[in-house]
Order: sequence, then C-alpha cells, then structure tokens
Amino acid sequence: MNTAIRTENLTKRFGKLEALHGLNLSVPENAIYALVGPNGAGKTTVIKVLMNIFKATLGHAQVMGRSSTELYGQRLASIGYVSENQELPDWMRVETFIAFLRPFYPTWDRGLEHQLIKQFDLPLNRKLGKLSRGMRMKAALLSALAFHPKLIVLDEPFTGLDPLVRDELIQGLLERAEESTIFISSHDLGEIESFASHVGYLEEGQLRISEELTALSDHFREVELTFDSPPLIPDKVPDEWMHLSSSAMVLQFVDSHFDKDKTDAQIRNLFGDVRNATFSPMSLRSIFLAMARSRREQR
Amino acid sequence: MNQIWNIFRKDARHYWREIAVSAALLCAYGWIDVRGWAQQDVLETRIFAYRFLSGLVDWLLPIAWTFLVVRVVQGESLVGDRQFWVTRPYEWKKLLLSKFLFLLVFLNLPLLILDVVLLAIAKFSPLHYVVGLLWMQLLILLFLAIPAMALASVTATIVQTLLGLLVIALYMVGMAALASQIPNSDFSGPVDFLPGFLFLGTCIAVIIIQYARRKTGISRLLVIGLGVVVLIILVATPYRTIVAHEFPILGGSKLPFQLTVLPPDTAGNRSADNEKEVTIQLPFGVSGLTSDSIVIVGGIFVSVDAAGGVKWNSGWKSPGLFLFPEQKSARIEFTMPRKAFDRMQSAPVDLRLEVAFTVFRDQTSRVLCYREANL
Repeated sequence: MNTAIRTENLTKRFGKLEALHGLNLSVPENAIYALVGPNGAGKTTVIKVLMNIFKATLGHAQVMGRSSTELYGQRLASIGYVSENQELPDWMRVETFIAFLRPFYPTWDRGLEHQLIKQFDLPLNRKLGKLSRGMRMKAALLSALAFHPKLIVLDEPFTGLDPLVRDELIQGLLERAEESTIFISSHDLGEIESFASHVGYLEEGQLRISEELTALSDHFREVELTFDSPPLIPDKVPDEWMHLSSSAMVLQFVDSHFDKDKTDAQIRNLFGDVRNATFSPMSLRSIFLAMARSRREQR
Repeated sequence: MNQIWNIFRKDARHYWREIAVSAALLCAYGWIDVRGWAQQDVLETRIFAYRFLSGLVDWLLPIAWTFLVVRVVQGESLVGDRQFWVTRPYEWKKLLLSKFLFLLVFLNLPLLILDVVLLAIAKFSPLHYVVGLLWMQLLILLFLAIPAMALASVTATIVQTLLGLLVIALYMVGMAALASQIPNSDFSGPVDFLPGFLFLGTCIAVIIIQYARRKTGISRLLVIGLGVVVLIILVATPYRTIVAHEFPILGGSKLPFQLTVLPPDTAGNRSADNEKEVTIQLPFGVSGLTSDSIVIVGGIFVSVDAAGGVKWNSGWKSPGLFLFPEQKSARIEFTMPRKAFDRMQSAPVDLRLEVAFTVFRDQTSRVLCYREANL
C-alpha cells in the first residue's frame, strides 16, 4: 500500500526542548489517520514539520512522495490544511476570501464550493473576523476542500466547537474521504473514534502506538476475573497487563496484547482456576487513558 | 501573472485608506511646492504658515509611504507560523513581484505623475528629463521602499515595526555620539559609500531570504550584523591614511583657487556656543576659480599652537562647503572644546588650516531656459 505520509526518525528541538523524539510514522493513502495525544504531546509540531512550516532538526518527513522541505508553491495545491489557531485574513468577507483563493488552485471546483457553502450554511457577506469560531473553521475547511485535495491535514479542528458544528464538519470531511487521505490531530478521542481508520498515539514527542483502529480495539481488553476466594496477586505479571487491581474476589486489569487463547493460558498459568472471566472491548478513550495512566505509574 | 494580479488586487482593495492618505499628502506636497515658488510675494504671516505646512508635509509624506510599504508587506506577514497563506500555493517570486507592483503603482507612479505635472507647470518639458525622473523613482525605491520592506519583512506587526524603528533610532544616536568621539570620523571620503552599499545589500538580502525561505532568525542576525559591521567601519577606518591618499598635497602645482584670510566681521566669528564647545567661524576671500568649475570641500583640518606648548587640532571634519565661480567669500566653521578655547583665547596663536577639496569641471555645459515662471 502506498503511503501518503512517512516520517523517519523525525526529531524537532526548540532550543533545549525536544518536542519530537525520533518519530517513525506511516500513513497509508486514503486512510483517515487520527494523531491523538494529550496537550503538549507534539501533535501540532508533527503537523507543522509535515507542512514545511517547521524544519526538522533530525530525520526526515515525506508527504505525497516528496520531502516535506520541498512543500511550497504549487506543490501545496493538492494539500488542504486547516488549523485551530490559523490566522485568517479577518478583514475579508467569506465570499472575498473564497474568491481570492480560487485562482490559486487549478482544480478548484465551483460546484463543490457552492455545495459546501450550502452544507456549512456560511454567511458569505460576513467578515471572517466577525464569524464565530465554528463558522471560521467551516470557512477554513471549505477553502481546504473545494479543490479536491489529495491530502487533508487538520490540526485540532474540533477544539471548542459545539457538537452540531462538529458533526457538520465531520460530515463534510467524510464526504471527501474517498478521494483524499485525511490526517487529523485531536485530543477529542470520542469524535475521532467515530470516523478514523487509523490512529496514532503521541505522548511526550514519541509515537507509542500507530495502527488501524480496528486492530487496536481488537487487542485491548478490560479483563475482569472472579475467584472463589480473594486472589493473591503474583509478583510478576505479563508486561502487557496494565492497572492490575483487586477488590474482594475480583481482579481487574487491562490487557494491551489481547489474544483469547494466549490470555486464557496466561490467566490459568498464574491463577489456576477462575470462577468467571470477562473480556470487555474498550473505547478508544479508555484505551488511551489506560496507557497514559500506566505511563505515569511507571515513572 | 494571475497570482501576481490576484494578490495585487487584494492589497489594493484592502489598503485603499493608506493609498488615499499617501496620495492626499503627495497632492499637498505638490500644491505647497508650487505655492512656494511664489512665496516672496506672500505676507510674512503667511510665510510662517506656509513653512509650517511645508515642513509638516515633508515629514508626513515619507512616514505615510513607509507605513504603506510596511502595511502591504505585512499583509502576507513573513514572520510567524500561523499565517494562512504559508500553507497555500503562493509562489514567493510572484508574491514579491506583486508587492513591488503595488509599490510601483501606488508609490512611484503618483510621484512620477506629480513630478511631470510640476515640470509642466514650471514650463519645462518632462520629455527632456525622463532619465532624471526615472532616477528619482529609483532613489525612492532604493532608499525608502526597500529599507521599509526589509524592516516589514522581519517584523510581524506595525507595533513590532515601530519597536524596530526605535531600536534603529537609538543605534543611530549611539553611532553619532561615538562618531563625535572618534578623531577624523567626520571626514567625508570614499569610505562613506561603503555603509550605504552594505545597508542596501543587506536590505535586499533580507527581503529575498524572507520571501524565499522565511528564515526570520537569519534575517534578523543579518540586520544585527550590519549594525556591527558599520560600527567596525566607523571605528577602524584609517581616516588619515584615506585623506592622505585621496587628497595628496598640491606641492608646486598651481592651486585651482585661492583663499585669503579676511578680518573678522562684525557679525561675530563665534556662534552657537555652549558650555562644552565653542564654534569658530573663519572668513575667507575666494578667488581664481574658473567659471566652469565648482569646488567641494570634503574636509578641513584645523591645528592650533598657542604659547606655552598648548596644542589642539580638530581632526578631519566635513564642513559641507561648496565654492562657486562667482563666489567672493566663504566661511569655514569648526567647533573647539571650551577648555582649549579658554586656554588659548587671550594669547596669539598659530592656526594651520588644511583643506581637502575636489574640483569639478563642467565638460558639457547646458543652458537652461525658462519662461514666464515666477521663481
């Protein structure tokens, strides 16, 4: 499968602060890749390096088959970028903004433009500076979608938006998903889970996980074991078990490498007979919370 | 071309107020200029008002132009990482060209039109002065628009630009103070052009770096580097060697003009004294300058020996003095520390004056005719 974005050993330092540590990332073409992680994890820095806004200190990044450092001029005509903190020309009216950008893109689609204006219910006569945050994001997204970009890069697009606007934005995005690769950063795990095909978890500048969302969900389980008598927690448990806790006859943990047969065997091996064992699928939010807590406990 | 035109139109639409202010000031400048030709006929009170207005417009016009340049460059700010346009398919050469097109249309063109109109009002044919008119436009571009563009390209907002201007002003005050302490640094010689060329070269380099790469850190370092280099030039220039090289002593050869000391006039040979310095004016008679020549005095060196071994010299100073063929007298002025003056003033002194000068001879004389104008 071709990759739309690939980074190798990507490192970015700001003075003494190392924002990214040797990041290796691969985003397949036509994927909806969600880069998630807590605030300050380095998501925006990754995106700014990919978009050639920042230069990497070490390593390199490829975007659409080209080094990210070569992304300028007409090479940006097939990439739509929207960021929560992007400075738009506030003095422009929405229609002026759209009309100004139109000639920059040879593939600009007036039909799609009108469709998006209707879909997003954009007030064409209002100045960008007078729009609500949600409306500004919609205007920015329209300007990033109307030319059929091959790659759409979104940096925290849903932050601070009400649920209705989020749904409208996501809907607008999903309708374009077939023709584009979408790379989106967010710390809103609930939203991401509903539409992402791939997910990467970035923490302290390091990519802890990067894989298909279904595969990730498949190998994380919340395990609850019920015993006939209070269980003894062994000194050594498998490394992939996180947050081991017990209360009375029940023992709980999160298995990060769940495989039914393997996990059954590990449980039998450590605890012998168990009265009942349940393996509950986890939401993306629960998975990343478990990982973040585990990391904190390890420190 | 499409992109250049698109950005130009956007800027013209957005900055119409700045364009209007600059155009209004330019019209005022032209009107005042024409009125000034006839000012000798105007009443005294009106002359005061005229001079005030003229001085005001002389200040406001370059400020308005600078503001216009800064605003239009910062329309696509080159500093920062949040501007929407940096992730759009802008081509830097086209962006830069669109900004230059804007300056040509809204800064140079109105000025050119005004110059042509002024020439026409004064009954001169503009067609005879095309080179001069274009040269004027180039000078405005080189010494106003390009420095303003460079400053605007390393600052993100008008406030930052004003701070930058403040730093530059402080630097210049500091340099002037330093220059006053360095002997001979006031001398006007060939090295004078070097800081100017470096300044212009740095401005152009900064603009290109910013538009092509947006490396603000490097650009700002270049500007700081320019300041340091100019400082080094000021401090390390061997002024005396340059004077000796550029102005060899005219041994036996005949001097192109003669200066004779005149007695002190009643208007006083001292003026503008203060606690620390005394200004001395020496009146001279001028003769012998041929009618096709003018003399530019590039430097003077005054040395004074008084009784008791007291000595003082001015170092090479640039007096900004021109001598014309019809001129009969001239006054050379220099300042002396009050302490030295007080020790010398009551006794006879030996004063030696060295003059470094260049004679310019007109090889193609031209007669300017003008009719009916009331200069």
